[in-house]
Amino acid sequence: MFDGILLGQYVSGNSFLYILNPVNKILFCFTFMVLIVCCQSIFWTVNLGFIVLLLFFSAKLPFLAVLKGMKTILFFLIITFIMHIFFTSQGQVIFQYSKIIITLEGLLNALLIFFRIFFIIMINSILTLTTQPTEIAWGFQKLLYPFKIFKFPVDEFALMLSLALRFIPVLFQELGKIIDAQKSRGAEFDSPSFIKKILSFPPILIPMFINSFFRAEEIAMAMEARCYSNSQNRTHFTKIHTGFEDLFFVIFYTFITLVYLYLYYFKSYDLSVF
Amino acid sequence: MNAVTFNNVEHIYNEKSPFEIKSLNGVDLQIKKGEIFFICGNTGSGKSTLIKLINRLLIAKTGSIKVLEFDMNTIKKPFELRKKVGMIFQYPDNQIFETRVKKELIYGPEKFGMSKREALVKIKESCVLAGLDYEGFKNRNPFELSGGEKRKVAICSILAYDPEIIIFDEPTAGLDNSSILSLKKMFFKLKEKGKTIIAVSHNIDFISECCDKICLLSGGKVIFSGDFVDTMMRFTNKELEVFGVEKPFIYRLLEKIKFKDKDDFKEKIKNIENLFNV
Ligand SMILES: Nc1ncnc2c1ncn2[C@@H]1O[C@H](COP(=O)(O)OP(=O)(O)OP(=O)(O)O)[C@@H](O)[C@H]1O
Ligand SMILES: [Mg+2]
Repeated sequence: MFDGILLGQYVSGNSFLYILNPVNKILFCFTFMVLIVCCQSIFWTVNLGFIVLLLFFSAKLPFLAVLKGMKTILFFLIITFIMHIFFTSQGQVIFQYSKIIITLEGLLNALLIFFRIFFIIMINSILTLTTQPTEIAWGFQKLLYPFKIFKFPVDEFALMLSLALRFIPVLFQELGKIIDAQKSRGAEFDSPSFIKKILSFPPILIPMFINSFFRAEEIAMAMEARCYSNSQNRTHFTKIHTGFEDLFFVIFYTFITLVYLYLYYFKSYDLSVF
Repeated sequence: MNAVTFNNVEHIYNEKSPFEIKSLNGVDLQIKKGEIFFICGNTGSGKSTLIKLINRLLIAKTGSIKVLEFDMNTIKKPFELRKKVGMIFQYPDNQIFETRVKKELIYGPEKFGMSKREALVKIKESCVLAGLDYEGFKNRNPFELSGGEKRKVAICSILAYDPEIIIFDEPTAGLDNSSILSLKKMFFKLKEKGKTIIAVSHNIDFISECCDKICLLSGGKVIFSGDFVDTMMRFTNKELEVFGVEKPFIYRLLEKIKFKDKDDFKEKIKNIENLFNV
């Protein structure tokens, strides 16, 4: 059920994306996500997505394996796509059959949302595929540093984040194991009926959460046993460096951001249509 | 009559992804009906993978597997197969999912179409067999049990639907000595009932007490398989490391040898001579 690469999983490799500073990568993700969400035109969204895919391929990231791992999400994405098409009633009608109406507006909206979510996942995959969870947490810690002035608990937040990230694959593994346990005792998950598929989810999700609560308690104890505390300044085992690659990367996405801002404000592209 | 037949079976985890791992590499294996069959091997040698293939929790791309009357290459729905092949997982935490012990125990029988009354009788029977106090535990939350108690619940939840083949993955792990003793007795009782038992274990005392046949897995391949004493005789020091013992253990084996006839006697003596280089 969950083969391929799970969302949020790290895959070791050695392309330029691996060398970049995590702070840099997080900033890149953030800017690109904002750009994609703000962009109202399908054409420019796809263009932006194209750049993301280009990054993906030039860094030799396993595109197909990521797609395979996205199967479940793609499934829900397609459902939202279809809902959007059929439940938008304003706009120019392009197809009508008794009560079913499809409008141009609905179709374009559906496409836009589909691309948006798809590319947002892709952008974040770039970060999580090439950055270890501890590095991501470290990056956030550095980014949030200024908020220390307002007594924001940055260190605790970073710890929480790194634990949460660490738990995503654990949750999926847990899910797989519970499915195995139920399968071996006669539960059927490969039923072609859609309703049955949906109904089979609660009985595996509940034990998954219970199980992971118990797991979390054990981790907390294990951390305490090794005297984890936030009171002292933490040192890090691996030093993360910032190099020329980072500079180029910053220039690269700042340039793209500027181009988009230019299009958005000065050219005021007709944003709702192509 | 064979209960399980493996023919040149290969298995790869995460095929065609960056995490590809070849776990089984051409396994040939035969397990007869009514046997107690042990699978041994170092950690990571593919034991758990192998037994998951029997239950079709994993599917092998190459090779053929036959389990009872089912052929894995042609089987459509594994439902009937799983009814007859019960599997107790390596870690009971991975197997338990209900919030009450009694619900956990009745899950299998209910899914496989037993009536409630019939299931209850079977559950109580299997609790006696596995040494679990049903009345005392039925309303407990299985997540809060101790490791050994969880294992007992896991065993009962499988025995409750009376499968023909029962697979145990490291059943002695986390059990105290008296529980291991009752596990041993349980194995014999199940054998008396005509069940086939397949178990993964490294507890050499446990194995030598109740084993009919044994196989040794290494690097995804079966390197030895056959009668317990004969197979153990052929092990070198290196292979005995799997059990955490060394050659002196051979002496314990010698006590167990039974001779069928004159030829058998001669052959076995020859084996022993080889072993001691005399
Ligand atoms: N879900 C999985 N995904 C990827 N690789 C796996 C998975 N499960 C096991 N493996 C790998 O397959 C190989 C065989 O694993 P398996 O669990 O069968 O070993 P084992 O003999 O049962 O070991 P142990 O005695 O520790 O239980 C190992 O190298 C392991 O890393
Ligand atoms: Mg195992």
